Amino acid sequence: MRFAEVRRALRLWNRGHWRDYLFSQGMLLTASLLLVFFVAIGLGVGRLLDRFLSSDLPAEQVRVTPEGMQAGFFQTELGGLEITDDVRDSIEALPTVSRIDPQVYAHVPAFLRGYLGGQPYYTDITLEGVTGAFLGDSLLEDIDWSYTLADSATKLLPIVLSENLLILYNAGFAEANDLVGLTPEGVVGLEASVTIGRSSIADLPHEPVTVRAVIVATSRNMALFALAVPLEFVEEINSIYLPDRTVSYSALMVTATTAEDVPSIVRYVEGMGLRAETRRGIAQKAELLVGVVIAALSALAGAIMLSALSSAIHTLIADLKNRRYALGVLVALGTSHDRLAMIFAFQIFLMSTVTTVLGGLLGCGIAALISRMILSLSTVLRAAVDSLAVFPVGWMLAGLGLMLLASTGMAYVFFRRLLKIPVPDLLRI
Amino acid sequence: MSPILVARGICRAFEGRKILDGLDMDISRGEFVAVVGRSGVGKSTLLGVLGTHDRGFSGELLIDGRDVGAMDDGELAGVRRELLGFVFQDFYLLPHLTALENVLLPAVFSGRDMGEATGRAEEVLERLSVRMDSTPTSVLSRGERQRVAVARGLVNGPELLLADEPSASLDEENERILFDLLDGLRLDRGFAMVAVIHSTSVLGRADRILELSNGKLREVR
Repeated sequence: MRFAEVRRALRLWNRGHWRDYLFSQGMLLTASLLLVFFVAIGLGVGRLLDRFLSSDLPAEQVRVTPEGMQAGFFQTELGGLEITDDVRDSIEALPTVSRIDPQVYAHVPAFLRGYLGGQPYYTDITLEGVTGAFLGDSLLEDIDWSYTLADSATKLLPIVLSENLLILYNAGFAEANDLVGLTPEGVVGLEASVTIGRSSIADLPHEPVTVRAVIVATSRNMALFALAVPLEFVEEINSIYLPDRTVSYSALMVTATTAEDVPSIVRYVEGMGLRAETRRGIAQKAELLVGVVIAALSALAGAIMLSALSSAIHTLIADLKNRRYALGVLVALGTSHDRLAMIFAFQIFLMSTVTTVLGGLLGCGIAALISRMILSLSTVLRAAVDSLAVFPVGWMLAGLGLMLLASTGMAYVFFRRLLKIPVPDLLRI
Repeated sequence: MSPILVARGICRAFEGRKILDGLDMDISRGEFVAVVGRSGVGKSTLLGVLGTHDRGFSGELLIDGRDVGAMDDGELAGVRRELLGFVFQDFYLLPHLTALENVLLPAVFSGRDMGEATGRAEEVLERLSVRMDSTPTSVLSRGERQRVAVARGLVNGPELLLADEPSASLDEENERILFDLLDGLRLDRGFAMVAVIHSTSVLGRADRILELSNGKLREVR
């Protein structure tokens, strides 16, 4: 049968009945819209939570910190065991420990001055000295992670910025002062001057020094509080400004020989009165939370979508039931079942495909719009993700295809069953 | 010449009640057979069986020498399309379509040459004095709808026209016009006709009159 003939047949078949399809196609449109919308937003929220809760900590590493809270120069709490060289040596002596990378806070006041969005920017800072391994070697793959004061004339001080700091900046400062929020991508490459030995609230007798610095990367390492710089630089300024202070570490990144050795190291460290964190501990909590949120969203989305889809199928079938008389007339006049089924399948498939694609596109549009609206309300979210909506085209197409197949397939099966009804029964109104 | 329709021992029952009970029938080509009988005796059931719409019968039914009982859905549709024409008692028109569209319906859904089908439909509708404007059949008078139903039954050029009270809604004058036309067409095209008839004025035109009674046919004339 040629396309023109099918078109002519469908024009006659549907005369006066186009409105019957409005509800069923409307439900199908709603179902496909919801499918795409929930997939996009669900995955987007999952990614956001993942970003907030994730850690770069490798499986074979244990992060050891004192029980008390510290923040470098602005030490807020002391007490309990400090991580001194003796403690470090004791842990390093364990046969299961492969290496230790320390983190040292600069116990020296400092401030940073630069330009953000064309506006001069000033903030007191705490520098954290770390090795490349502490941050994760991959982060610094292409970066020269070494610096001493002797390099100040020829090099820029490389800084890795904690994404925690970005979140604090966005939520606590930018939002309150109506400033543009910062994203990880937006800050890399920014240059500033860093002055050591003075801040807005403290001053040391020793003459302050100022060096040029550049933000080379951002990190999600949860032990990183603010600004990470090469370890030797912090050790150098600590020894210049506070030569008599006992060396203590703010954190140790302990690398076990194998990931299986991690539990024994954790037990040892906790036995000493220190805090130990592992990837598994962080990941488990994060995964649990993300999993619960995603499962709840999926269940809700699934229920709404299924109800829309079943309504679409139900009304499609109801539309067909209403046409059994016309179907009976056509069969009585000698139209073959196969030809009728072909014409019907063509119509319902074409119509449902257009509806499903339209619903999918609308779902994408609404998800993108809602994402933009939510992100415009919160710089914290904006700093964490570019968009709250994720569009995995392949999966979405597969989902929509499945939905199309389910609705048209059910309608087709029902249509075939209708054709099996004897003509006199079809004609009996 | 072989008969267009042969029925042997046709039985049809509804809920245990026998409507057709071992009925025999032969229809020759070009012949006009009138079926009469009391109301509710099973005349419409008989036409349903002969028209292959009702397959719940037992016995042997041959149309143009082909055994209906052995046919699948596709073959049956072909027989209805190519050999049979129907005029239903309740017309069974699609109300949103015009007269011409209703008449063309079988041709449209059969993928026939629309130019030829339209020419034939217009000719039949013209001879039956049915208007061919854009008026949907739902607003036509009962008499007009009956003529549209007759035109639809004839448009495919059937070998056998099965008509269930084709003039029931017509006045005497229109009934005469209709049967004059059918007689003329039968002479031109040579199709046979089995019609359930009540009007005595029409019975005189029939080659044979069969009375349906107690599930069997008896030749009256």
